[in-house]
Amino acid sequence: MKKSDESNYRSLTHFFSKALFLGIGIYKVLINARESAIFSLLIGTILGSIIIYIINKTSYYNSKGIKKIIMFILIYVLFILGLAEFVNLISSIYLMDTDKFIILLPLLIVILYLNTKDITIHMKVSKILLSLSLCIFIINLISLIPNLDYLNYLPLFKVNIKNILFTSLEFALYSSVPNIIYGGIKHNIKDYNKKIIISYLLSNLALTFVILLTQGTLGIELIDLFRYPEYIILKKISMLDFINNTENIFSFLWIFTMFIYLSMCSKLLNDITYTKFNNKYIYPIFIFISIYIINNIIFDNNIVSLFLINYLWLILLIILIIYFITNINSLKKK
Amino acid sequence: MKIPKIYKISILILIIITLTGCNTNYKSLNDMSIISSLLIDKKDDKFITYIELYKEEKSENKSKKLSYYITGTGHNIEDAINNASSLISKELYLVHMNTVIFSKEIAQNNLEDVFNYLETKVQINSNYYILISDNIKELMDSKNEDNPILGEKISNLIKYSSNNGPMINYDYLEKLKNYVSNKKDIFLNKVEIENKNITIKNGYYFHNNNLVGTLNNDELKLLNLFSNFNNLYFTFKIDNKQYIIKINNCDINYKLNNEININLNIKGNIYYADKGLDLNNVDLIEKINSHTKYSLKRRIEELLNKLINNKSDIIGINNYIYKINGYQKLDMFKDKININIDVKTNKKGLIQSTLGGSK
Repeated sequence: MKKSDESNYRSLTHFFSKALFLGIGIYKVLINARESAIFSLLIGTILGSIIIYIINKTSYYNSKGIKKIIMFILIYVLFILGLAEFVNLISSIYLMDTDKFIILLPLLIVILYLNTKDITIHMKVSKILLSLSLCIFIINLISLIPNLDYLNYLPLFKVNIKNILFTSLEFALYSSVPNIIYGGIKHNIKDYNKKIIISYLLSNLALTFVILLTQGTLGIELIDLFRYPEYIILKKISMLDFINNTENIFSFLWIFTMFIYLSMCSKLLNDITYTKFNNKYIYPIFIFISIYIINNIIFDNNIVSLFLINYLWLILLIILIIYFITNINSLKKK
Repeated sequence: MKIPKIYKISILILIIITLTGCNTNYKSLNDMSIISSLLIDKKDDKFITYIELYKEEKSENKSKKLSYYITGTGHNIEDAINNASSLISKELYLVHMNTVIFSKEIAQNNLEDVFNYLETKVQINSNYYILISDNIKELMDSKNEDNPILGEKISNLIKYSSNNGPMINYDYLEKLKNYVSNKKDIFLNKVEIENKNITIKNGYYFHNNNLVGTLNNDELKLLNLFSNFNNLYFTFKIDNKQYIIKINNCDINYKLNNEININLNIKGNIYYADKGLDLNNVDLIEKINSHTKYSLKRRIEELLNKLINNKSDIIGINNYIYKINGYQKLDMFKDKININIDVKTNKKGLIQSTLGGSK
């Protein structure tokens, strides 16, 4: 693999690790670990690195039979979880009165179009969006630092150790489980595991900044009140006294993340379907019909939304266990 | 796999149509009424909302920005606003709202309703101010040719003159934070009419979100000092002559032993001095420093006593103690508070001496 292709490939980790934090992850980490969130982030990162290390030892891109079906289901669940978060964000912030399926339609069309391209195109798009995300991230960071109040990080040692450990587990699952998508992509990178873990650590560092900025700007009392605290802090951005109300532009960071995550999930699902049925029309038809049905059952249901906030970690844990059981053979081979 | 061009173009057109969000609820700017300020009052157990809306008046080649009010009543604030909006044929748009002003009665009995309503409108920009007025009707009538829009006038008054006055330049999110905190109490400015002009000189402070008292102009300036606002002006008198200190920086340190020690390191410069005060006289400068120190200390102690008597912690002393120690090691309402002030003034600027001073 060329060096440029390698960096494109590694840029995916940035989006995979952050994807499930939108709307649920950041809120849960701060609500559970409260002022001690920093400890959960540190322990969670170590735990997540271990999980990613094991995930990287497995692969399923040439799997067959029942294993292929199981992998399809697992990635499909990850795809739906991401889609649920994405559609909730858009309908809460940008298009409050628009039907959720109408919101999803252009996204699905773009994703399905991208699926027709080679996986290297996905990676190139990912690299471009990573550069854009980095610019937005730096602007956000610089503009929000003056709003930080160090008292919002205190007291550090007031939270129950059980809560800190549980939040670490949650953090590790949110940030590492989406990386199972990597197992379906063929590569010939030297020192693969080491390079992916470094990318994961860098991505977690950026995520830690976002979480700590949210905590330092709003404080736990206000975070308790809002569904998207990571979006609310962007309301505080004010530059040169006339650049205000820019939160909708700066929150594009999350849209990029979700777009890459969802398009990669979809690409793998498309490839699995194509090799199974040898027909390029089955997957788009399946996606449109299934999303239309799921939209009415899951996305428009408040109870499901609350369930996801409370039990997303459990769903991810089950996905991870099933993934390891399914791919234990490839682990032994390596 | 190659996709024919016609499919690509149709996909693009479909995306362009759907990305605009043009559902059945499509609204253009002309269909919206932009709110400048929201005024809330209560009468006969019902909420009355007065909504100030922008309007544009065109005469010859000029256009002028003006405002008008619509009124609605209801059992809750949302209901009252909905009833008011039914009077116009446009949708109310809250994003550019400058101020939310409510009556003292609401502040005493229904503060929770106001914050509940504002919290649900989270998509609004948070850079608006919350104030209290004793007479909402009088405030509404105070509009004149120079200040045709009430919300903008008050917002600008807070933004551009908070250093000279008693206004605390905190937006909605800061107020909400104090409202939900069980360690720090909330404080809200009071907007009044004085000689037909809008002024913000005094304020109301709360304990557990119940209104407990008022603070005057000087007390509010001291509160600004604790809030780390720079460029504050304080007037003092020495030997029957006035001088003004402009405080450029105030560092606050807490030392918690068996008592609460609050150390304020103030740096400022002599902004104005009456005729006869020789600013080149080193002894006088030291005397001014010492006088400023004791005078400020006395004023701060008086303010703290007032707050302690009403069990209100708008400064956030108890919050600080809790955050630093992880538990309420000391309590400002029970333990002794010592104020230590160090004042350092220098003489900067173009004035070498005052008229009649050194020669």
